[in-house]
Amino acid sequence: MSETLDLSLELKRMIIKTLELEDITPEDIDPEAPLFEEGLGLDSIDALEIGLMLQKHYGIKLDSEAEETRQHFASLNALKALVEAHRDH
Amino acid sequence: MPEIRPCALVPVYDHPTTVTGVCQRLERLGLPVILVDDGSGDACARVLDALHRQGHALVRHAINRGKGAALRSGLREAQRLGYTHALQVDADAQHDMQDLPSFLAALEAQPDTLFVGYPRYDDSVPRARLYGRYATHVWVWINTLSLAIRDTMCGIRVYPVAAVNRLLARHDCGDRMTFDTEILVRWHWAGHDLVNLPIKVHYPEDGVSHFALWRDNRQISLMHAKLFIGMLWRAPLLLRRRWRARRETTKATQRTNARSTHWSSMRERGTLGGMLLLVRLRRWLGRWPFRVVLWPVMLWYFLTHSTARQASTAYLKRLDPALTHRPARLFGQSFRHFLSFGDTLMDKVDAWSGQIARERLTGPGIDAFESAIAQQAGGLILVAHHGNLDVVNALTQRHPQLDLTVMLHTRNAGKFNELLESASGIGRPNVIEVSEITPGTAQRLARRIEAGGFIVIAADRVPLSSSRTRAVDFLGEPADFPEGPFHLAALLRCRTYYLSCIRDERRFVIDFIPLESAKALSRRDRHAWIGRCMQRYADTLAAQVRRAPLQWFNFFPFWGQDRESDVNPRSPDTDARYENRHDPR
Repeated sequence: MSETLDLSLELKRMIIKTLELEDITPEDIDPEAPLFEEGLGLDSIDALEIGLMLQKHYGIKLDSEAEETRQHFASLNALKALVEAHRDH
Repeated sequence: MPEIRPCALVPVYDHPTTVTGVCQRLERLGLPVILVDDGSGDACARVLDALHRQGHALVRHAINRGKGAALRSGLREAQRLGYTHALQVDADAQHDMQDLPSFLAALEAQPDTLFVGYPRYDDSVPRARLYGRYATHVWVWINTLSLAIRDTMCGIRVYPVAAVNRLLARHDCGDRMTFDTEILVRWHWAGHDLVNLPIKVHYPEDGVSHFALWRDNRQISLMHAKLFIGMLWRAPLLLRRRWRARRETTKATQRTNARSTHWSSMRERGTLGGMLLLVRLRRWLGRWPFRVVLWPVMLWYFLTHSTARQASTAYLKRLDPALTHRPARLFGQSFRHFLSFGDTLMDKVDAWSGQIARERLTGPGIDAFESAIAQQAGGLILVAHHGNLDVVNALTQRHPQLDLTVMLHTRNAGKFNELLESASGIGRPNVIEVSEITPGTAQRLARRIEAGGFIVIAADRVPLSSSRTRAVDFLGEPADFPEGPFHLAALLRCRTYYLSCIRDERRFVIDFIPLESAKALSRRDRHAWIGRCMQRYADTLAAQVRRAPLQWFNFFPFWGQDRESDVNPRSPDTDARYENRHDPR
């Protein structure tokens, strides 16, 4: 359990660092809230950045299809599920 | 179904010895005959009068007006007399009447179809004449973008009278020898059915032909040029139709989504078939057929595409303000600008068909590019619609270890390359089609660049899907450039380069110039870095453009000021600024 909590925190820190979100702390990120637009307010270029981060740190290769990625990027928990699924392989 | 009432239609111009025999044989087939006397001399006119007295219909031109005019008169008469189909037969008895019943049987089954004979020659045919026909065959194949019509000069055919007369009301198809060919091409364009049937042909020893060599050849050449332009205009339609037909016959199960009828996919398909044909023809026939046809085509574009022409003159005046006071010279320069675009098309065809020798490539860019490849430097290569980058392919062939990916805003681009590859036998670089860059695409690009590969992307045109632009100074005035390619470089934190290939007489000068590097770029500095890189790109481009002004191929208002001063800023051509292909095609 603590491992998944750690992963959640790790991802939050990674997002903040990658996107240089200086005025945001890990606690500010609601794991169920949308990352893009209304939630954290990230844009499409931020999404590309997160994609590159996932590849660099976790070796996750996303499909080029936008719809699938949109689901993985829906919230922090969705992102976490993606990383966990990749680790299980 | 309305009753089928066929007749025979025989245009006659001084065939006194053969026409009576032709009429007798048609009578035996049970066909009423309409004769058209196209201003024949007294001897033949007397023969025709006699035939008329025997009950054959006769239309008469007081003076010779040509075969096309004669057939039009005859077809009108056929409709007036209530015939549904007209079997055209030449009066010189070249054709074997034994084949005619097969035409009559065929039209019973398919009354809306135009049936055309294609000749099976016996040994009496003069060789030169046989080869001469081939030029026309090839033109017809190009102009219909299909092989549907086997022979357009054969004088035996069955016309559905009413439909053909409707077509002729819009396009008269010429008075003389051009008629036979043009009517078939236009019939095909209009989407009507056409079926080829074999017919035996022999050349009688006393055959009288009325082919006036010089006049008719000139008219036939003009007709082909005219039809070529018409084909370019209709290419998307023609190819979409073919594609649909093929899809129906192969019974492809997957339902095409709504996008497949969108103009952008159609247009790609249009150029696809046309380019493939051009590549094949270039290999078979050499360069001259293109030269012959490009000049009138570019003249036509120049005269009719006013937005492109105005963009060209505005651009030329910007480079050389003295032209403002010399309108004649400006006009001439602008036409040369269009012609230069035509030359580029030829070079592209040459490049695709592997006809450009490595020795013709020159310039400092070759060494610079090759050393960047050897060092596996990796990065984003920003290009522009200046010069001719297809030619660079000859260079990339030599580096099997080079990983080059071209990003295009067109769909089907990958398929297009496959087809070109099969036509030319030359490998093409990888192509990524982007309508939007997804995180998955960005990952792929990052992997390639990390491995030392290069990504090529045009940075002088704003794609339809993008609204991110920034105005930077370009040739003395601010102009909008897309931010996308520069954003991508910042995101991938890679080097950027400028690559160009400019034609200089027989040679192609290649430049490969490093721009800004985004390695170790922090997110905070990104906005400023993008601005710097865009300005550097624009400055590099401007210097190149000044070296070869007529190889600038953005024929649309490029600067904001030019755009606003337009009478109709939302005309389709102006919108091309925001599309992904915008040549004066």
